[in-house]
Amino acid sequence: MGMGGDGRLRNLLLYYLLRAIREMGVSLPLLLRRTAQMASNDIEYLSKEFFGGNINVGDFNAIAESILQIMKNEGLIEDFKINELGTSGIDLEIKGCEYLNLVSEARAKGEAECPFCLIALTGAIAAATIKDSVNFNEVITETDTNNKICKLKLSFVVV
Amino acid sequence: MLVFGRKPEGVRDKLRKILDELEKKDPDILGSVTMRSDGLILASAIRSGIDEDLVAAMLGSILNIGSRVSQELKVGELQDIVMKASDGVVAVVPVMKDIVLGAIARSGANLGLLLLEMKRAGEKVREVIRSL
Repeated sequence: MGMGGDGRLRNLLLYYLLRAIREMGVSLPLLLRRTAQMASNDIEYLSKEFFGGNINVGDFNAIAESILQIMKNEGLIEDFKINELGTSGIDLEIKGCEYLNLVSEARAKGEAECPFCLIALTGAIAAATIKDSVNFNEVITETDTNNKICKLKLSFVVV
Repeated sequence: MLVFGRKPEGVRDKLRKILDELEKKDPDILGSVTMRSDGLILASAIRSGIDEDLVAAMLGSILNIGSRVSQELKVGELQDIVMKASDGVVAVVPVMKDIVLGAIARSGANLGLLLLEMKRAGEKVREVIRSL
């Protein structure tokens, strides 16, 4: 990694970047939604580059599961367990998120949770990809840093 | 956070009708959108050929930043933001918590009328959302 082994310095810098964006007034949910829209516009490219062109871009569950799987393959997360998956919401557990110490940095500075959840971004990309059917609403996270587990509830909305 | 639920039949149509009425009341208005402050579009009457998701994200940013500036400079609650450019005007009005109304108008538009009609339309948007 070259930046402290567990990526702490990288994540601390990312934390400062996100905090600066937020302090200047751009909310992180707005940033997340726009990032997801950009990624979904590139979904064919992402599918070709990372999934051998095998993502069914019309299937919400398939997109969400495929992106989680590639995050695992790329080492961004150690493992994931989906408890519930559908266009009304995703309930899942993530083990060993590469950005886990973002939570520690945020908590050390008096904040409650992770400032920017990569898994929520995954859900938002899936939602943005099948636009007109479903939109990302919000994410509730509960992180156990000792056991390296994040419990996430992503909700979606039809507008 | 506003949630429409799984079957929001009619809500988008009601909001779209409010936007259409707004444009009729002030013919200088070229397009309008109502959205959540996180960029989620609730209804849009933006001209075709414009990336409305991007416009919503930018209007959300303008409102977010305006609110933050008002807060930091202790000048009270944000009421509206008007941006005048050489070929047009962009106005953003907060409707209620997390809900925004944005409009694009012709250069030379009557700003008083524009904001008045936007605030009236905002009240109607608020009624629709509160009825959910």
